[in-house]
Amino acid sequence: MELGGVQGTSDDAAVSKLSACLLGYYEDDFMRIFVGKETRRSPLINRGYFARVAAMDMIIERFMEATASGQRQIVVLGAGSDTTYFRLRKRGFLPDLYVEMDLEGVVAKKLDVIRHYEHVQEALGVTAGDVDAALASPPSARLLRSKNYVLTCADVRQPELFETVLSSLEGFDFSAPTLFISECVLCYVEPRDSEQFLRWALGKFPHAAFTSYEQILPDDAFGRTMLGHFESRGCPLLAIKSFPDIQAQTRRFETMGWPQVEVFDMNDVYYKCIPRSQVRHAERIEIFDEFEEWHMMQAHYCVILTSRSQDNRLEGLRLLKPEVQKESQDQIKIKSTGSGDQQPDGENKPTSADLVAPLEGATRPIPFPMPATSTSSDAPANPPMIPSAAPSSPQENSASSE
Amino acid sequence: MASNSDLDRQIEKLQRCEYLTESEVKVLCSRAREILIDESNVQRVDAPVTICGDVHGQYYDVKEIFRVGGECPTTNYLFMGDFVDRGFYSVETFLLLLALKVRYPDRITLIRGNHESRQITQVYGFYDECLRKYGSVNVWRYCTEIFDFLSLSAIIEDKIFAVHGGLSPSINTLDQIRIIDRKQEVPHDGAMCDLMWSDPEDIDGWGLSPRGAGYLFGKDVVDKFNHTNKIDLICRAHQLVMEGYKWMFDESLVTVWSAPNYCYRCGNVAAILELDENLGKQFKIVEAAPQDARGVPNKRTSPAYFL
Repeated sequence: MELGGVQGTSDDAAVSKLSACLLGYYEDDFMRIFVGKETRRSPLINRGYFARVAAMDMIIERFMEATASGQRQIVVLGAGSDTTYFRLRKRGFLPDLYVEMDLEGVVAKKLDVIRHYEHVQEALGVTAGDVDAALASPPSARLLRSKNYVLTCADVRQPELFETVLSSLEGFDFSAPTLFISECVLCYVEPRDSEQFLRWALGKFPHAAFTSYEQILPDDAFGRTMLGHFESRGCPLLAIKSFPDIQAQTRRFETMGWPQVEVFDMNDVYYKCIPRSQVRHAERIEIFDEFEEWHMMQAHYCVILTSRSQDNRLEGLRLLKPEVQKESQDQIKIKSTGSGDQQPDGENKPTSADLVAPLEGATRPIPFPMPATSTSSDAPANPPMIPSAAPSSPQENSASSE
Repeated sequence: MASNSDLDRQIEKLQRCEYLTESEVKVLCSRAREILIDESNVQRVDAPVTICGDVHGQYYDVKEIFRVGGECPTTNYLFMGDFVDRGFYSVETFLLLLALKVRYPDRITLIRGNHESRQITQVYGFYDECLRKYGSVNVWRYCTEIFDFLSLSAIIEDKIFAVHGGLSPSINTLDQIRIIDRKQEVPHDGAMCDLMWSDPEDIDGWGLSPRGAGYLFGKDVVDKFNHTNKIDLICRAHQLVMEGYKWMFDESLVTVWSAPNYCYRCGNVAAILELDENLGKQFKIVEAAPQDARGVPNKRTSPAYFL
């Protein structure tokens, strides 16, 4: 079964994620392997991918915290060019089993990439022979496996096959807490298929969590344009009309029987959920002059986090920590940070240098990262990844269509 | 110096979305400089005039503006900046407007937006586009040098003040704008920066701008400015509004946005504001140019979402 245009979305996402990494939005040593030609994306795209990665990292972290006492598993649907495994490994934060699932074509491509890089094989704990053996298997049976890592084929539209694949994995434990991650995956399948999958997960796992990042709000002008775009690139958003907004998404999970459901649009995720230190770091990287569009774009994406656990051990797995819930409702406004009594020359006025890096003169444009002028003590401990191979010259970096 | 017939030929080329040679751009810019250098920071404009907001390199949509609003010089135009960046035809768009300015200096007024800046254009596309289309940064350099000569604002019949962004806490009177030395890169703060970066907001007084440059200003600020300067209306651009225009503060300020389907992604309509000789106002809505008017479909024009 093929999904046509959907498979290509993973490549585009990889280009954008690499753009964000090279600029220092977040650290990822492995994204480069999935990208042919580096392209610098616009600040909005970079910041948007940063926000999404930060949100998913946060969810994984909270899942790992909640399940620290025993075996736990992460299953990534539509794993495509996902590099989360490598980043978790670097932080010493791996679950017992990290399972990447995707369609046959995507898995073959990923195997091919892994085959090219010894350091990738090393990080995954596999050998070149393992990769060759996987590639030599019949397409539907391809499997790359190490102690903590699995890459294999499965289609969410066929939960019974999905279950067969998971059952066949040595060490996979249906009774262990399991987090399913779906970044722009279920939005491409028919609602009845995703429902079947979610009901299966709910019935099969006593401790299950599911998180998804996907589009909402199909009916306004931005949403209609967005729908047209995805349709024209051959990957229509098949689920969006059935779950058009936060309320509908929440109902979707509640009616299935998921007891704990949180859905936030990406503005709320960005301004209320992800760590402020990361946001402050990200906001110092590039000049940003697209606020209206940024808020509009982010309003059209949401994060769903739902879980159920027979012994409540996943109760702490939430997007918005209960203790900050009230505070953020009161204090965080999305758009304006202005207040009437603030004097314009008050000391809180951000210096333009916060967003606008010092001018370097007309002769030497700043084609790639402007130095982050981070001075705050709560900046991330690790410095942002500095492009090891310097970003290519502006000539090669042109043609950004975002 | 090129003659008007050369210029007419260049305008014809630009009307077909063909770009000029590097040497033509150089000559055009030096002629434009002679005209712009004499303009005031608060350039006087006579009504009737048609006011446009950001166009951001959306060349085919600028053509649509001229189709809806009438061609220049038949229609007198005021463009409130942000000619370049984001769209795929910043070069053609800016050069067309600049060529019209040189050919018909009294029939088109161009004022500077925050994207008419060396620094911003390196992040938002104009720099890359020049490099891609000319293989060198010379055209970018000629254009950004001209940006420094663009006026900062306009005053229409002494009653309507037009500016790209908004007001500045350092500015109370139009005379204070007139004495700014504008022939420089957009600074990071101060009056000149604020005029291009600020936004109106439903607050009292002044507020911090999330953009990190300029300020937010409230109705009371606008009332005071309009009263002090005996004007009726502030007309500005700078912020995407889905309906193309947006009144604020009991119609003492209006935002005009002229880039339809902004970034080929937002689904918004654009507007232009027509002022008749008595300053009667009429908005005209401009939809994105139809696909078949855009020439060969270009893969590059596909917008980006998070995938």
